[in-house]
Amino acid sequence: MKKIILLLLISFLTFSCNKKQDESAIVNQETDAANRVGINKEIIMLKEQLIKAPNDFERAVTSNKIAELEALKGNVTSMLEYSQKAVKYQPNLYKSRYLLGKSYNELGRYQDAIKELEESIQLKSDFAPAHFELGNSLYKMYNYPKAIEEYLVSIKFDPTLYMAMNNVALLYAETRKHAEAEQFLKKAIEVKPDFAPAYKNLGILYETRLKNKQSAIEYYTRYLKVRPNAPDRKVVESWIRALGGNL
Amino acid sequence: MKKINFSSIIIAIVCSIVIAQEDSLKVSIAPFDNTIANEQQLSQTATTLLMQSLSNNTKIMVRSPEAIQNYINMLEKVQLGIEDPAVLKGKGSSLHVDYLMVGTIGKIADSYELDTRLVDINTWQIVSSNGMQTGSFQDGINTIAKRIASLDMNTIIQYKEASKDKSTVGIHEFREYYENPPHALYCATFMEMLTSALANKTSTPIIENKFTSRLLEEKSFEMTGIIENSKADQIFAIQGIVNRIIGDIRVFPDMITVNYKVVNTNSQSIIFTGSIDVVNPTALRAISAHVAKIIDDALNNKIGNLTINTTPVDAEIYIDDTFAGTTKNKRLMVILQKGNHTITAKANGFKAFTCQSNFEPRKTTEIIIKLERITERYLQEAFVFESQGKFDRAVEKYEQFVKETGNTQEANVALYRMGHILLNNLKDYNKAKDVFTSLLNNYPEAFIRAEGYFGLAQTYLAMGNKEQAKSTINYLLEYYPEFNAAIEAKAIIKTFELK
Repeated sequence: MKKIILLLLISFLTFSCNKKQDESAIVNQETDAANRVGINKEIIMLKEQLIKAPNDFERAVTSNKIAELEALKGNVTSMLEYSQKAVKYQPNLYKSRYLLGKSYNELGRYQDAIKELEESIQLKSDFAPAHFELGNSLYKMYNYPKAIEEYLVSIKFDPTLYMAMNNVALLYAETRKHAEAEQFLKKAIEVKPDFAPAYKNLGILYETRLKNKQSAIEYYTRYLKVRPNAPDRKVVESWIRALGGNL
Repeated sequence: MKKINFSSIIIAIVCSIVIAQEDSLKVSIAPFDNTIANEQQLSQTATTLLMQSLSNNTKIMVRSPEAIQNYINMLEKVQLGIEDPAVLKGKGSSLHVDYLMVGTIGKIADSYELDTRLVDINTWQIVSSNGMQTGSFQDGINTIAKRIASLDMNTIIQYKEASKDKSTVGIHEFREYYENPPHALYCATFMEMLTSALANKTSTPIIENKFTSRLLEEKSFEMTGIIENSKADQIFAIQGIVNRIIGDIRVFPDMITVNYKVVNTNSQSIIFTGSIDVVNPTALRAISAHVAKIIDDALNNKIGNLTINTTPVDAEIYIDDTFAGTTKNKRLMVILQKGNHTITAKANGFKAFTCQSNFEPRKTTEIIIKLERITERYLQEAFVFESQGKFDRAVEKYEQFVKETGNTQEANVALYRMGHILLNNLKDYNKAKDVFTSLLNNYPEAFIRAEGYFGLAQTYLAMGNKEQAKSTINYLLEYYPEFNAAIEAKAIIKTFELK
């Protein structure tokens, strides 16, 4: 009897351990596999290049490239690490300052972000992404007039920057300049017809601020058309129904 | 007498039933959220199967969803952003239900992803959770029913006790990154998995995400390039949720990246960020368990915040040789892993300060660094010796000054002067080369760095190494063209090009 209990206990423990191992084995297997594909493969290659880089400029440029790829992945810690390296190796590269500022924004260090983004703009005044990111920092610091200014500058230097058009429109809506808000959201759609947030935002603007039910229904419907499996589909559908629209 | 006996038996039976009911879990089941568009009937199937499985269980008293229909309607309105989530709390006694079972059905590739959680209807804290990946929907629901059937009041009381004094956590949102192709949507399913994993594998009290994810007004504008609404922290803090989890999922052609952050809602600071890549979307369940473990570590003292105070001035702080930030108003808060760290503080005019710290989250919360002003005695003496032409003595004093001040702006000036003397006056080119190289390795401000490259180029030239001199000057001209050193270097390069 004792033997049977012992056997059962051992098999139970083995089963639990295996389950744990399975989970961590899957994680290890997945991260290993992820390191061998696309963007990560490129990052690993660049890290090797960084070790062999012959001078500071090359080190800075390579660090920048890594930071850019990490930004694309949204890995804030790595983006911060490599943009800091780039600034250390070459303090006067506008892109490094921009990426460092962007990392600080992601980490909620808005004052530090502003400092770096201003440095970037000083080095290259027509660099639209830095103006856009600075607009984001200023928005988070509740400095709406300055944020609007920066978004507008970014659009001036890059008339295709639909994200800045969207954000400036929302700040116009916050400051009750509804006509301007409408104009910039429409511009964003014109520049990028598959940019779903602009449709939803226009719908909200028409419904809550401009009290234009028909246009609200139209843009909510277009939002769902552009993004058929939107995670908030049920919510938006209920808005359309509440406005008397048909699905 | 018989009558009395009979009455006593009846009273005893009634009492035992009442006591049994008191001890049983009073549960109802909310309609399952179903993200599979073409299998909408599964939501009802799940409720029916669970009701059937649990109806014979003496430890669990299941109230039919119809009996609490008004509450279910209210829950639906909250999910649609029509009602404030606060209306869901504190309804236990009027509904005669203590716990509500909520669940979600999703599908990744060919596998069903099932998540069910038992939440305290008064607080919306999760008291038990199950998450699983299964090829057969019915088998999955049966397994979940068995797990729920094994629950009893004591287990739940113990769970609540274990998490009583801990800070509550709410999962707020995971965003589909807006540049993703629209077909690849994993956020809602991953949020469910992570919620289940956090509640199942950690003792951190988790507030149900069907409650927390609706805390912000739905009909608010969507900002791009900014992860969250500025008011989120305040709203969560009002609800008593100390930490909130946010994140995003980015889908690339050959992999998926999951990014997550833990934000303290009181200080509005990010206390942890993490990122993990996965190739196969069906591995997201395992990834969610892994992420839950990391978040639990972050919340349980394995990582923590450290405040560094510097006095009497603001300073640059380096942790393990990496720049961590500047003490503004003499104060900097950093997130640190438990263990040994090297902390260095640097400020102009002050000696660099370095210490080793064995960081224990929540025990060590603050360190105060008193910076000592640099005495410029050695530097002044060096200047005097240099002006008197006593170059050996000047170099000696500069060396003493560098040794005392470490890697500071002042030390960089001394290194530059020393290199200059070694090159031009003492003609000790090897030593001059070493001094200029260490100056450049200190990464001083751009002006001194330009001077350093110029000094190094001149040294190479003096050593007869024209190639190295030329490439150093070219580097200087290309990357520091605005500095005086570059203008002087241009003149030099012409002379030896002519030869």
